[in-house]
Amino acid sequence: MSEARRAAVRAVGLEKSYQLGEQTIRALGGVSLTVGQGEFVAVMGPSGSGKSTLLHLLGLLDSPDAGSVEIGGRATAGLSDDELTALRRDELGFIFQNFELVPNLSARENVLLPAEVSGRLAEAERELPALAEQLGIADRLDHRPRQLSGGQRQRVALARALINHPVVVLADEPTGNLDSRTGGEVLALLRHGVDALGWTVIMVTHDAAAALVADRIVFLRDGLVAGETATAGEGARQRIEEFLAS
Amino acid sequence: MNKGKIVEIIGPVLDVEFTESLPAIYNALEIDVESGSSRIRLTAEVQQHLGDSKVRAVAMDSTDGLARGMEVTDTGQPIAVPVGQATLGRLFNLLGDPIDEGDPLPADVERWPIHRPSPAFEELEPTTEILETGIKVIDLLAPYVKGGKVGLFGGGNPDLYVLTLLPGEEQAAVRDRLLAEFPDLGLDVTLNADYRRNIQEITSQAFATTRLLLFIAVLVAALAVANTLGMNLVNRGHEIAVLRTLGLTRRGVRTLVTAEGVVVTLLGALIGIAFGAVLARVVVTGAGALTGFRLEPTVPASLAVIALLASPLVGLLAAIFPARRAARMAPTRALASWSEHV
Repeated sequence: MSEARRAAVRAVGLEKSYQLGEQTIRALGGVSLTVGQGEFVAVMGPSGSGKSTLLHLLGLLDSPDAGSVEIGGRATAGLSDDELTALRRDELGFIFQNFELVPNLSARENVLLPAEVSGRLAEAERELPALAEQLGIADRLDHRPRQLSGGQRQRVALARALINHPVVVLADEPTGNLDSRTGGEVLALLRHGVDALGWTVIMVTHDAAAALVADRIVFLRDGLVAGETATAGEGARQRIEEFLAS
Repeated sequence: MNKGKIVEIIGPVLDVEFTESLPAIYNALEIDVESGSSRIRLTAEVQQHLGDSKVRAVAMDSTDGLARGMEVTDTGQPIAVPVGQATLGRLFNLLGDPIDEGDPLPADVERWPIHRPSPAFEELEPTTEILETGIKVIDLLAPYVKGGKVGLFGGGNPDLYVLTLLPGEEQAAVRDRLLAEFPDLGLDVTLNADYRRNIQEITSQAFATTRLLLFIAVLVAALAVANTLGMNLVNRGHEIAVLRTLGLTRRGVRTLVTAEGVVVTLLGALIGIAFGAVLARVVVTGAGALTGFRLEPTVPASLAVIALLASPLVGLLAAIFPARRAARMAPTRALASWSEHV
């Protein structure tokens, strides 16, 4: 990662604990992560390692007990709920394991939903054909989600995540509900978007094959960063296996 | 003729002394005396032998003006009333005298005593037959059995007649003529319009109480809507959280849930009004068929309009708490792993 590149997301010293009855569970114990613009980062870790919590904090869905999150160079500490919501709407794109399309809206309406909420519907409508072309869903826009295959649904969800030109796309197990072939297609699409179109992607996964598509893999364990590796070069797969085995 | 003398008068009860022979129980006694300027004619019926040549009898009319010592004649038989063809269509008092101011009965009309033995068992009709009177309410609800005895409503209860006017007659004019013609009968003539107004007054009083029930029903409906919206959130919490991650503000979520409440109550009001109109038609048609009256349902248009206008308001109120709860839900629920740490 070149130092000249501006950071899309910068998280410093994130801590978060949850109260579970009498017990206090420390989900994150001081995690720092910087993702540059145009970078594709995978976050791996076993259940309970804190990767979901990290995604919540990076996605501004929850606030940290300590530490800070910057999105596109803008600090988020102390912002009101409405300001956070606006930031989420304009600067962040989400894709989910279960796609989460609104079932009684067409694919087109689903994609345009965030643009409509942020009041730039006309502009988004002009941009939609090109985006749909890039994602291979141009001929599926008038279908309802239930008429689409899983891979198509995730592409529609990706289009929805991208419609407001976010600084970063946050992906929560995006291939978890797809077979390996369509999952591979979605990953290839993300890879292509990062390489050719300048997207920035942070993807939470526990699938090693999915993680290898990213530029860099960050390992989490027990709420702390346990290591990281670049995927270029020979040693990456071995590092993943070592991490999973340990 | 067997004659006696009154020895005691207590109200309608007379004690009479007969020196020759005692009249039989149930025999009719007649009194026909001049008392000052007026003439008293009275019939009494023997009820009891008191001993000492005295009988106790009950008068069939007022005993005003009677005095001890007045002469009483034993007719030798019970009160007898006319029977047969000549009596059809006529009105009689309890002594069998016509009181309808019609022609006097022929002198040879057959009379039967009002006290006589019941028919022998073998003379009875083994089947039960209905005597059709042609009066719907009686034939349907309380039919008369042929050969049976029925009480006739009389005394304090006025008789009710429905007058059907000839074409060209004015209701009010007929009423005035009736009242002028029979000033003594205590007639109470009610015109259709007045009768209608009376009934309407009674029904609107009845409906005034249902207003309270209506209010309670609206309250229950509002609670039901609030409950439904709340239950809905349990299922849709995830979907709402997804919308939150996509950039819907808390205010947006509140608006969403509130709009739902308004739509639900508005739809409810529309369906309710339509259902009510159909139900009213069914009930009124049924009541009309039962009573024989010509009834028509009316739809209270103003109430329907109020209901339509007020229903969104009810939805708005019902949605307050569910909307607030929905807006407070954590957007983190959208993520697949949400359940892991909660």
